[in-house]
Amino acid sequence: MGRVLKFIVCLLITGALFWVYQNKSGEIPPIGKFFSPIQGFWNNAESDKSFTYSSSNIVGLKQPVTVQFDDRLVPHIFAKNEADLYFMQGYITAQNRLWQMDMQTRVAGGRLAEIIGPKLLERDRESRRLGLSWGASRSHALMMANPQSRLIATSYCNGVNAWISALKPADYPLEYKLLDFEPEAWTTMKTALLLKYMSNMLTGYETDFEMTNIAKLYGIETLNQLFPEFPDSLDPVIPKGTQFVRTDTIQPIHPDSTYPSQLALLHNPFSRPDPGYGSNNWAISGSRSASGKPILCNDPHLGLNLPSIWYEVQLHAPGINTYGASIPGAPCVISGFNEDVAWGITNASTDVKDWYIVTFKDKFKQQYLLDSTWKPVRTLVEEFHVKGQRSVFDTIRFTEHGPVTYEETFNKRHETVNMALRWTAHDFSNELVAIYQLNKAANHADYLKATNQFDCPGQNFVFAAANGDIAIRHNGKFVKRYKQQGRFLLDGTKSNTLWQGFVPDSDNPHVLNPERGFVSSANQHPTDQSYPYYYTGTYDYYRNRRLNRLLSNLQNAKPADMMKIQNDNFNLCASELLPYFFALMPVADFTTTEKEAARELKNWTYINDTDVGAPIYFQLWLDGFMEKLWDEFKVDQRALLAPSFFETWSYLKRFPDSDFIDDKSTTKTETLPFLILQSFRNAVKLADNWQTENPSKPFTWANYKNTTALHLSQQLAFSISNIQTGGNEDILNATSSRKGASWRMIVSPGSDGEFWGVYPGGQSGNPGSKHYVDFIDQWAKGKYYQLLFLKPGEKHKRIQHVNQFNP
Amino acid sequence: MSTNSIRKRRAWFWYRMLICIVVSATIQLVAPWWSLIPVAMLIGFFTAPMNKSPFLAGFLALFLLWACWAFWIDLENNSILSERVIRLFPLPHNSLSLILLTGFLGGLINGMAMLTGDIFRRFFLPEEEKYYR
Repeated sequence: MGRVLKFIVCLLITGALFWVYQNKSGEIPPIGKFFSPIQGFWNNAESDKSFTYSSSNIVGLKQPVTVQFDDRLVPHIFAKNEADLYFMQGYITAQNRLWQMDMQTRVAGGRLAEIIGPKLLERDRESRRLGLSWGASRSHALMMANPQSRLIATSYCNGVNAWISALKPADYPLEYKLLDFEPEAWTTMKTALLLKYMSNMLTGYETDFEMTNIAKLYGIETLNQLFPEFPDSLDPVIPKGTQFVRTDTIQPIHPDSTYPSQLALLHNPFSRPDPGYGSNNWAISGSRSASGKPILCNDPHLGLNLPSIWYEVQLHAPGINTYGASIPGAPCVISGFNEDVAWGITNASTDVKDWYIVTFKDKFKQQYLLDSTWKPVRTLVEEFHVKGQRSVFDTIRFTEHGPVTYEETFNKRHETVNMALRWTAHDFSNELVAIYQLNKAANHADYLKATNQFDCPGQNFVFAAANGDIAIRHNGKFVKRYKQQGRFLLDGTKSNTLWQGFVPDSDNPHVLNPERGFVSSANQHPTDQSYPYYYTGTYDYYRNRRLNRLLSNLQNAKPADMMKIQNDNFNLCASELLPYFFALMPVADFTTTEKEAARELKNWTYINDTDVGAPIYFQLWLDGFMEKLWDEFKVDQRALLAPSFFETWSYLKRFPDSDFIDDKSTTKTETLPFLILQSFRNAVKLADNWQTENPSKPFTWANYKNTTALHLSQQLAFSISNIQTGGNEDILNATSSRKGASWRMIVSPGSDGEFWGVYPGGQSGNPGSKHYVDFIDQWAKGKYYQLLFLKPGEKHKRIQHVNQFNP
Repeated sequence: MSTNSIRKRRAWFWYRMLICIVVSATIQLVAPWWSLIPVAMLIGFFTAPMNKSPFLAGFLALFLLWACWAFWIDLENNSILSERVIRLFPLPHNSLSLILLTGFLGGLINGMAMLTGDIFRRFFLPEEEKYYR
């Protein structure tokens, strides 16, 4: 009897172990599947091989394709026709970045709960309510209607699927094994979704709720003092004094009211992308370079993610030869060059996303008011698959404006206001064909023609050609606004607040070969006030001024000088604010540490280098000061926004006795000197605390900032922390703790050109590869790799692997 | 019992372990990881009628198989992967602990499976042998 019991117990334990080993429980992956050295994560360890050659057959190819991988694992794809070229781009990108491609489209499409579980349902709902997949489906239709974009999107898709279909579970990327799900087939729709993911990242930020609330609380005059639309020291993308022509002579009609004043203060439940996703780009003409040829530079600042947001590639087929950074999941090269020209991007930062307050007839929300008629609401029921649960459904209502995104069913505070979203990211557009044509551009006219089709996200496209031309254009589909339209929430019951058209492409701010010998942008205002169209946005005020100052002093510049500029750590904000702070700070009974900190700050050269301590004090001081100064803007979670550093500084210069300085929660009256002193003392205390909490770390800016390239799953195990870099937001080297130059490129285009680049990651998305993060050190040090722009048939000593693919 | 038969029994411990390693390794190359369970059960059932430690034999078999396999992979990979993956677990952050953990987890389920097979066999033994144990 004892034996029977013993047997049953053993059998049960074995069975229980089997269950635990085969299923994911909580955060713990299925142990057996995961640890098996044959099928689990160990199988993702790549062995370190020197030169390899392989030849294989792939169904779907028309002609043979050669892919050469260089020592940095950059694929150089040589195809005999374009269908094969993009097929191979898809195939090779999937080989290295499949999980990332899958995840990013799941984020955009609101399909995370499906694989992770109910905790991501609200996030999924938010994505779909924002209409990203709806917008993607519209753009997808346009993409498939154009023969060029259809060919490249379809070929790319087939290539990705050729890779996926050859995978056995043991070959799945590590993250699939950790999260226990499987790759699914790629679709051209996913490419469209990915482009919307970028649109959201770059145009998703707006401040309509905040501006409306502030205008309501303090009046429009104060608002304009705090947030002037055209500050004095503006250094716009298109040089001041440029003459603009307005070809569209029909002026937009201005309605009576600017913002809906009868509303209560609102909060905004939507997470918005960081406004700090900025970038720098510029080109200098031959008159400023040592070689006499233009040099073009670009460094887009995005989240520092692993796998990296970019994937380097060279694409070659008859009629095309281009190299640069691509986005895994989309064909073509986004920021790069070809034999004749080079191009780069920075975010336009111009507002193309507006909220309309709509009035429904009754609680059934089937009709909404427009002028004096009740119009029918269109509904879309979204289904959310949830891991381990039944599907959840959410109804999204559409008015003429767009999806009614803001509703009490989503809004956690159950405010009864309903708001529809009008956003160019929802519109029909075909950015893919624009990028494709740009990849093939041979001259300035081609560049304009190609970028005309690039609607959203709006970008400052910089351009340089081997023939000597340099140009920049504030490019995209921008709203033809009446004055102040889109700065505040809009009244959706009146048709006169609807968008009245778009700025014609020919009128988008543009400059070719300016006298000053350079073109540049760093997310600042595109123009000065003389531009004949109204626009609004969230613009940079520091990087652009520093950049233009450095560029206007350049003579005989070489790529090495450009590298210095991209890695410039000069803190313009500190150089303007610190002398002002010290001048105003009252004399007090300072402690030794405070005296020491003040001395360090006074001796500081305003350079945010890795190994100095002064930037820590400055940052803490400034942040603390801002918090005290703008305490008025923290009311009960309502959507409010404090002015930026620059706006604060220019406001205080004009209104040193502003009422905002006084802390309303205390009985006595605070003055500016008092706030400065108080926040200084507090900053020294906080810096002291940091040192106590981190006894093993030297007190340096890089250690304090703790720049981290974070894996998309948020797993620190696959991330790189405490990267030793200087810079910060508002500095040319815009590397803060989680954002920074996601790709640095310096190119002098032409057959005898020079090509340099680096990004904070590596070509492989596999944490088991030596190419996973192999560029990070180089990137952190501000060093670059010489990019290998191969000619067909060229045998270069840096080529490590050659793969021959046959139909 | 003669010294000879004791020696034989000890030898069977190693035979059964080796058989398990060879068979399990071959089958896992083509079948999913859990194929090790029926393999260990069958070996537990059919081999070593007088063995005292079926769990240990099973445990050691898969411990050696998985740990050595992992060790080999790790060597070829210069520990790039293992040094990242180990950070997922509250263990010393080095490759060796991940290799040992892999071996341990394989050994645990394999030992239990072999023990189960071994006990099941004993239902079919003649009476005297049952008492002999």
